[in-house]
Amino acid sequence: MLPFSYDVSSKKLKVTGDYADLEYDIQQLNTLSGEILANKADVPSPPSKESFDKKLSHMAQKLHESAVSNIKTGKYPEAIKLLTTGLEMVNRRPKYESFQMTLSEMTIFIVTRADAYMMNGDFEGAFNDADLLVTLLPSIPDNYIRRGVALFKMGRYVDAKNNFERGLSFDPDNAKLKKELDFVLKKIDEENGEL
Amino acid sequence: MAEEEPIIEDMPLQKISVFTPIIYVSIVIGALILFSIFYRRKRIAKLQVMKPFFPPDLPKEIYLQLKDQDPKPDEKVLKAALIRRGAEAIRRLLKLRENNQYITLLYQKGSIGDEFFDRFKLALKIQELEIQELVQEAETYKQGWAPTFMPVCQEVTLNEALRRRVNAIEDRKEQLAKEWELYQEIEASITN
Repeated sequence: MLPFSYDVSSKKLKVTGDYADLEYDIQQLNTLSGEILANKADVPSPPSKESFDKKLSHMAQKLHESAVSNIKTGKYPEAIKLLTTGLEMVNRRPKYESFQMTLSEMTIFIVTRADAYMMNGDFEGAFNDADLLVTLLPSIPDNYIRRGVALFKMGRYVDAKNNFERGLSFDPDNAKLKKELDFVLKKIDEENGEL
Repeated sequence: MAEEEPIIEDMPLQKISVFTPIIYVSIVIGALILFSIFYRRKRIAKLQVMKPFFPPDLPKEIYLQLKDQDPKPDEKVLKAALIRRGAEAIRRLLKLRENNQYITLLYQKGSIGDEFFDRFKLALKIQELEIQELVQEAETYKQGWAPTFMPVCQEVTLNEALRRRVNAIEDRKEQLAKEWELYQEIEASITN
């Protein structure tokens, strides 16, 4: 018997004892059952374009637009706050909805936030977001530019070089990546006293 | 040429009981049955002591415990638990399928042993049976749910994996900040 109890009124489960990893599973189940209880249909509809919540998409788009206009006027911290809220909003989408569409909606926010962090001079934040982007969409060369530049700004030239090279392996003719790679190679040579 | 002699000679006929062939057949069949019983027992015992490929399936255990609980939970909660059980089954099946060709190749090359390969095959078999069971279980909640049940489970698997990764970056940022401070301190101590 697993140590958990069911509360009839709140329809939630609660861990009552010590058991490794049970907390995570119970929490995930509570979220999912909450989402299914909030849904009017008796069983969740199969993932498709039609079953994807458009109201939420619209709100997320509005948030993203205002964040972009904040970036354009140089209000980076405000933009980051808006983007974090938007990301949280998309993050709370029901888990039975289409994964592909959730992913693309989420990456829009992460891409913009990574750029906003970068422009705000918060390179750890930029690196962190770019790193997530590389995990989620590993075949997009732009994400390697983001991660490489963030590393470069933090003074980790060799790591930056690796990122640009990996980006080039996906798109060998990418002019921006080539330029960044040349630049960082020069920097590495300078640091080693070869120039 | 001599005239051919009849080959068949008069052999003295020995009378045997009617039961002799019956006894013979029953002994043979009995031996076979005994052999198969012991062989199967041995195989099942071998499978039972085999180390499982995955840790305990918590979503499945949660679902079964919830189902047998008194008072019975809300049906939608049970459905959610069933979907999570399906999501876990799909996650495991994906992991196994991802590694299937490499494990087969390594086994053919002799890089991994029989025991590991048997464990892998058993895990695959268990997951296939689990999926069949899940589909039947889904039908008991709503007629005709089975075809849309599995896609929903798959979406839940992928979405949960996505959330895990996105949620992890907040903690990681703090860790990175600490490392960055340390790095700067070292840098400062070198230049000074």
